Parts: sequence; structure tokens; C-alpha cells
Amino acid sequence: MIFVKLQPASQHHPAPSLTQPFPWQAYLLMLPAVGVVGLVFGGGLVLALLQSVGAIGLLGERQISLTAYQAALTNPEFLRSLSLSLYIAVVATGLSTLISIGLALLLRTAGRWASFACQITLPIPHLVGIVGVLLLLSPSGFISRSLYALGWIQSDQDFPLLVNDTANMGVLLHFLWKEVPFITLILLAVLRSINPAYEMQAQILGATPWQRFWNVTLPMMRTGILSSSLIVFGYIFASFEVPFLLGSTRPRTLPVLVYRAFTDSDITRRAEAIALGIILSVLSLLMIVAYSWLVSRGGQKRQFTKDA
Amino acid sequence: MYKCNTHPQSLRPHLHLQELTKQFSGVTAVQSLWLEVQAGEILALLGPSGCGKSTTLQMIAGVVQPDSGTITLNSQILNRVPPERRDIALVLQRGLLFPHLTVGENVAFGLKMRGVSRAERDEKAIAMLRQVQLEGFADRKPSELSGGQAQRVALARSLIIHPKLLLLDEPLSALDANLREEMQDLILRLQAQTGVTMLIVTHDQAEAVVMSQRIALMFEGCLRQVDTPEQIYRQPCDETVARFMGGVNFFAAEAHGRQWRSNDLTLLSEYDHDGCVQVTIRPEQIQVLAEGRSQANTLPATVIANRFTGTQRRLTLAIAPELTLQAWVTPTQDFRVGQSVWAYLPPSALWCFPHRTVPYPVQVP
Repeated sequence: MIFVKLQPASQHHPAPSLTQPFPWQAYLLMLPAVGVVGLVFGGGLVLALLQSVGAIGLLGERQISLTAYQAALTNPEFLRSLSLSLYIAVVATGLSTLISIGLALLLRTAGRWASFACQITLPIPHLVGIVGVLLLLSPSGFISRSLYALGWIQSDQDFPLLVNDTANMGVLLHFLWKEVPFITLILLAVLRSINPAYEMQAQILGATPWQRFWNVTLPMMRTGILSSSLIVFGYIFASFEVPFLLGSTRPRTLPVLVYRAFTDSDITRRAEAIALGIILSVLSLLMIVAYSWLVSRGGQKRQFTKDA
Repeated sequence: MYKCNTHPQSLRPHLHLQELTKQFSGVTAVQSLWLEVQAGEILALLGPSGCGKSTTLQMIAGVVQPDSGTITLNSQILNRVPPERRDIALVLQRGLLFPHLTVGENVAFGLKMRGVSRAERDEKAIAMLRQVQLEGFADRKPSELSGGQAQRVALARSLIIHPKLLLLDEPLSALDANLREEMQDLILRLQAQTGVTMLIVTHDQAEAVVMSQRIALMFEGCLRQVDTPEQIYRQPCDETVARFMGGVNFFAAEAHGRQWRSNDLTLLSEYDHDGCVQVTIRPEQIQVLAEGRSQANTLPATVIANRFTGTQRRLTLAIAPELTLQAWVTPTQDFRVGQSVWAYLPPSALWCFPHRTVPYPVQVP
């Protein structure tokens, strides 16, 4: 009797492994995307970098130095602008994320209308939103006039300053209006992909509703929360038009400071503006690194000390 | 003689289900279910897919509310007790370990929810992992485990909280045959060590027979028979139960006490009955002999089919023009197709139930 040893099918015809792709092939496939990004953004960034260090002179002269960076960093407004940009980005992102988590949990079992409702604000340009905030919240805006008509305030002076104010309330409200639906949309998709049996299992193991949320639901939403909030944070931190039109006049956010320096009547300040822009880009890059660190830190295992 | 013992009288019921009913969108999933489980007992809730056994388990766990009826555990009515305060653990088909936690954290989860200190729960989790033979796995992520390992972790996670009742919903159905046997041994060993009352839901009758002390058979939301595996195997209450438990031989007969007549044949049984009955005999209990002998219930037969399955030989025997029976013999007993043989039907193996002209809906997995 002859016994034939059958080989697993995979040994006859090795299937292409997704975990071990040919690197050159992967790089080749990425080339169109990398090319566009590299040329448009990378090229612009390199050009700006060269201008900021004087390798390309604005008026034709060429003198390599870090004077522009020195001027940018010693600008008395720089630190205040940086703080303001960080304040707006942190508060707006934090509030948007918290509100979105709550909304996503509330709308988890809602029908498709919930996702649709979250998409309504996405295509509306920021400028339209800014105009809306101005029409609603400015001292002569709709709310102020309505309150006056109701006799609740005696003049527009009694209405609290919500646009171009030092607390940047208008800026924050605009970002909440724009970003809450965006983050909610992402978190809704994340929540709906979580098997509810995990929460059921936690409940049977003794978890109260709060413990279930804190120990199971929230950690399982973590990646979605971090990625969406990073996008929002990055956008708000570098946003120009919203703080320019709705924000405080002094101090100004970093992008507004860059714009002011760039459009200054003194053309020699352009190098400083470009240096500020480079600093802004570096700061954004640092935040991405910090995010990656945060994600990898979350993935680290807690060691059971008594275990082998 | 019919073993439709759906409500056994017991002295110390641990879990008591009374008139439990549940409907989903007008469709009855569980209908007036009565069941008692003794303290420290292993009871298997067996039935085909969609018969309501998992719904019953979820009602006991508290994640599904019954429409009517009561669930009593240790004399406490549980209907209004939330799942987190029932002290019941549930192990699901695929373990369902929390993917963001390590194996050790998964095992210690229930203790953490009960406010046990980290040092104490770590120590207990490691001890529990040792019990399920997963020492050294505490720092792994669930994604790094095999199906069997994940199921063992799920078991450890449930047992660490010392539940009053352990529910297992198809715990082994996702595992391959060898692993399944290992897990069966492990579950039985842990049950013996902890003495926890266990209710296992399964659609696999072999698994139910091996693992449980009693089987509760469910069909279409109703309990059909609750009995020991041996009783349910040898003395099913009706044809549906018999077929579900692997019965293949059924024929009509007229019973007069212990003498049953069918196809001009007179058979002797150990059981008394009168009237029109449906007779059954398990195929492995029919003895096939090459030589005849003068003994009651020894009938001349012809082998009309012979199928070798590895562990046995499945013979189809023509006994009378309208009576063919299957006999499963050892592989060493080889008979030719067309060979004349003798079939001995032991009186103790012949069982009957009232004859039904309309068969029960049968859904054999």
C-alpha cells in the first residue's frame, strides 16, 4: 500500500503574504501620492526654509544666517501668540472631543439619520461659519437684537463681547460648531464597529454602567478619539481665517502673526514671517510625534511582576 | 414509562426557572419553561439552533428580560436584579476577551470591578491562570492566543469571581475536535475543584452527554425532556428526542404488555405498554450474528449495505419487507452485502413511545 503524504495547499502555491510585502513594490505604489505631497508641500517647505536662512534672498542678495529665526523667537509677541494658539487648539479640541464622545454614545443606536446629520456641517466652508457667528453673536448680531427687543438688555453694550474678545469665545464656538459633528461622525463609526457583547460581558462580570464605559467602551474607542482629535488639533492650531476674523486683536495667534509679518509694509520682515511659518510646521510635526508616542505608550503591556 | 420529566422534584434547587417565557417581535423564543438545577450540578441545555437555549441563558444572566416567569437563584428572585449584581458568570462561544487588556488584566477584570486591590487581583489572576494551565501568559495580548487558550482565559476570568452559577454558551463549538476534548476535561476538572453549579448550552449531543450530569432537551422554545444522559439516550420521550440523540431505527408496532408485534414479528421488551406504539432501538445495541441461535428477538436478516466509518461498521439490515434497521458493529465484524445474518434485538434495548401519524419537526444538527 502506498501512502501519499498530502501537503497543505499553501506549501504547493505559496500565497502572497500581506505581512511581508516586497519593499520596492510598496514604495513604487506609494510614489504617486508621495510625489504630489513631496512636490507641492515638501517643495514649498524647502523653498521657505532656504528663504528663511537667507540661501535665497528676497531682493536678490544671498547671505546665509539665522537672523530671521532670531528675530522670530525674540519677537515679544511670539510666546504670547504661541500660548494663545495652544490655548485655542487645546480648549476647542478638548471640548469638541468630550462633547463628541457624549453625542456618539447617545446616537449609537440611532438610525442612519445620525451619521447624515453629522455630515451636514462638513461641506460648509469656515468662512460661512464665521459669517454666521458674526451675524449671531456680535454686539449688533441677531441674539443681541432679540434680547434688546425682548427688553432683557438696554443696549448692545449690555451684551457680552463674544467676537474679537480676549477669551476668543467666538473662535471656540465656531470650532465647536464645525468640529463636533466631524469627531462625532468618526466616533459613531468606531462605536458601531464595537461588538456590544464586550460590554455585556463586562456587565455580567460585575461592571457598573460607568465602569463599563471607563474600562471597556472608552479604551476601545481610544484610537478613533486620538486620531480624530489629532486631525482637529492640527487644523485648529494652524488655522488662520477663524482667529483672524473672530479672534482677539492682541495677542494674535501664531498663524495670524505669520500673516501680519508676511504682509508687513517692511518687506525685510518676510524672512521672519517665513521663519515663524517653519517654526509652526516644526511644532505641528512635534505634535504628530507626541501622538505616535502616546499611541505606542498605550499599547505597552503592564508587567505582571509575579509572573514568569 | 415516558420520561417527559420536565419538572423534577428536588430537595435543594439552586437555580429555579418558573414559567419563563420570552417573545421577540411576536415570535416565541422560550415558552413557559420550568427548570431546576441543583447546587454543584452540571446541566446541559441541549437543542438545535434557534430552539431558545441561548435566550434562556441570557435571561438567567440578566441581559435579556423575560416577558413572564421568575428566575430564582439561592432562593433570591433575580428578575429585577441587574446582571452586574447577580454573581453569575457567562462564557461565550469565542471567549470574547477584551482586546485592549492583557491576559492577566482580562482574568482580573471581575475583581477590579469589585474594587479588589491591584496586588491582590494580580496574585489571584496568576493563580487562576496556573489552574487553567496558562502560567506565563499574563502579559500577552488576547490577539497572541489560540482559540483554545482564549477560551481557557475566558474560563479563568469567569471563575476568579467565584460565581454562584457559571453559564457556558456553546463554549467549545469554535474549537477543533482534539482541543474540544482537552477543554471538556479542563472544565470538568475545574468544576470538580470549585464545585460551581454549571449550565452549559450546546447543540452537540455528544458534548452534552460527556459533560453533564443531566440534560435538558429543548425544541422550539419548550423543554421536551430533562434527564440523565444515559436515560435520555436510551429512553427518549418521543421520536424527536430520539432522532436528535442520534436514533435511526423507528418502526410502528402493536404493543400488548411486553409483547410487541410488527411486520408479523413478535418482539419481547422489558417495558410494558399497550396500543399502537413507535418502537426504537439504538443501532449500536443491535447484535449481528453470522450463526442463528434459538433466542427471543433473534431475527433472520440480509445485509443490504455496509459502510466503514473507521471506528465502526454501519450495516443496513433488511429484516422484513417493510422493516430495515441499522446496526453499528465493530470494524472487525465484516459482513458482505447480500449475506444472510441474524440480528439480535436485546429486550432491554427495545424502547417505545406513543405512535404519531404526523412526525415531530426534526432538526438534527
